[in-house]
Amino acid sequence: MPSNQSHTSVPKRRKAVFQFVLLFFLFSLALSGFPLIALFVGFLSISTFFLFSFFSLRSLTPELTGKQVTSLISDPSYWRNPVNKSILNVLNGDVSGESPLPTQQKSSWILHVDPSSAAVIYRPSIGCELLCSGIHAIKKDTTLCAAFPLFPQKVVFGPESETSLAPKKGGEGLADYHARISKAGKTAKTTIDGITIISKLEVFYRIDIEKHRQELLQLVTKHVNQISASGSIMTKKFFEDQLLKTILEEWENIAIKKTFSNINSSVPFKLFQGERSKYGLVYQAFVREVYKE
Amino acid sequence: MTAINNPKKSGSWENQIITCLKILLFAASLFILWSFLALISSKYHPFAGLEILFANETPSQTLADSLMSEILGSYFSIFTLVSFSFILTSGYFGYVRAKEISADLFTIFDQQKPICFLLNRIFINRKPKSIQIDSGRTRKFNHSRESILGPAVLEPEDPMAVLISQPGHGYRVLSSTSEKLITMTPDERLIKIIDPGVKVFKVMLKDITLGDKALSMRMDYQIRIPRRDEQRSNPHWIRNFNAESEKFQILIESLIGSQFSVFLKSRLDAQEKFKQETASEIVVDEKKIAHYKYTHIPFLKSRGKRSYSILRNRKRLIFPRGSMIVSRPEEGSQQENSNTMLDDWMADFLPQLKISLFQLFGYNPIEIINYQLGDS
Repeated sequence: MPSNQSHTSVPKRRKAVFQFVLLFFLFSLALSGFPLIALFVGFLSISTFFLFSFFSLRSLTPELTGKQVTSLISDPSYWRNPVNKSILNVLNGDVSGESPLPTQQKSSWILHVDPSSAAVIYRPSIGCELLCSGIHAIKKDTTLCAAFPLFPQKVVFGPESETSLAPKKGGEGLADYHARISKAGKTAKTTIDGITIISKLEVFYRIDIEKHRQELLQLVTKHVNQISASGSIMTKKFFEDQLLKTILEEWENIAIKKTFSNINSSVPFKLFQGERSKYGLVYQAFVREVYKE
Repeated sequence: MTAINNPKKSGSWENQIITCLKILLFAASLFILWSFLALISSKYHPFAGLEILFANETPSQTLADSLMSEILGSYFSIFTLVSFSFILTSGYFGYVRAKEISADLFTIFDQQKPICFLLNRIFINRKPKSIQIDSGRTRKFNHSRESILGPAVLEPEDPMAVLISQPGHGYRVLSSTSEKLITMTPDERLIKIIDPGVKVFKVMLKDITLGDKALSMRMDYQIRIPRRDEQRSNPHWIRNFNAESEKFQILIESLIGSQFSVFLKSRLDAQEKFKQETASEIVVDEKKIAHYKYTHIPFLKSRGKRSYSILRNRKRLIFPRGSMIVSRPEEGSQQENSNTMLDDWMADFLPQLKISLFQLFGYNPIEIINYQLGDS
């Protein structure tokens, strides 16, 4: 979580000392024959704590509704020191913070989604639900299964340049070399004249939750069990992998009908005219370079 | 420029009275609580044993003295003071906890101190202090998770646009010149600062048909601020404005570059093909020329005189014409033809670009100020 430990450690220590002294005072009062007065003072202290919390939270975070503030401060986790666990931010499509992901949260939590992101949560009783910009109070036993950006993205499939396909360099490890070659070779296809070509595909895409909401939810629902089991969430990388599969199919349909020289002489070109959409992704693809294997 | 002016005048007597009444009400509430604890203390005498140790009793002389001594004794008894301070400290820790949670969600701008901000919001109903924002601070602001919570007044040193969230009412964009202030009402939050200045983008294309030369395009553009009605109806602009402005700019330029490369390649190929075919054919096939006239307007415009001027002019209406500087080293009518050809190419390219940008961004994200196409 973004709040750093050094910043909050002093108030936490002070709070622990205060809690100890308050309890000591209340017990002393109860043991000296005034249990009702001890209860009354304890009640007043707790009420003041909640009252000040409520007003401060409402003033400093007007985005939270009264109901959300009440549910937040009435949660037992509010009393515990690592309060950070109960709040998760999705900023620019990334889940921020170092806390473990609330894939199996036992208590309720808060999900803050910024205007350029969206998130998908999963509840066994309801299924997948898409959450847009705002602060959401999430019930317990709800899993965060996807977080992604809503603004356009650019991704390059295949080799970035000719050097991506270069033979193993001197200082390069074998694992690094294989990773580089396998990443670059993802777009390899064979043309009609039997030449294997590797293309640099430049893809611009946007996840459209207005027009293709259902398609997107269907895709997430299909993979939710697999993702939950791994303890991770679907990020933009997951959607890019889906996009790669789709675009490679389209690229293969073009590549197998043409010769290498046909393709090479027409580069750069647009893989298809207009925009396409699949799984809620709206995309445009360009073939920027073509290399022989 | 659309800035909202705070209707409340700073320092007006109504505000001062409201502030005084709020402070009085809060002080009265605390006094009632203190009195209530003093009442408990006087009735039940908790920690009476301890009080004997601290007691410094002098025989009371009058009834008034005795009464005063008893009242003060109750108000300043160990039980009353300790309980009262515990209750107040609980309130303070409630505030600290709220501040922690608020900081987990949003970080308040470094010039706004949460406690001062809170007290200001609760008690003092005055016009907020102005916050000056220069370009250096803008960059830092956009890269951090900082936000400016209203009420606030911003004094931009350079022209800027800001993305403001209004809880329960969505978002709005305000653009301002350096002379005008940006006023935010209570509960509004400034989340992003956008630079609406003119940006320059250059792209260069090399092709076999061009030989050693390269064809370049320079485009001056600026980020377009959607109109009020568009702001309400189209949600796409918010997502782009909230993203990091550098990423937004890179993406726009990257798409323009790709689109331009593809467009130019298709035009050069078509031109080359036509040259080859016309050179090899002694008898000009009228049908073929008609076909090329239809598909490759700019090329034929340089030869084909006025027949397509209406169509060309219609296309230009979509974007501002801009200035065309062509440095092709040709002279006389050839130079003129070349200028017209490139001019026509741009007239064809810009609508295509507009469609492509619209498809990707969900709205038209830029305003083209000027463009140049030429050899380099």
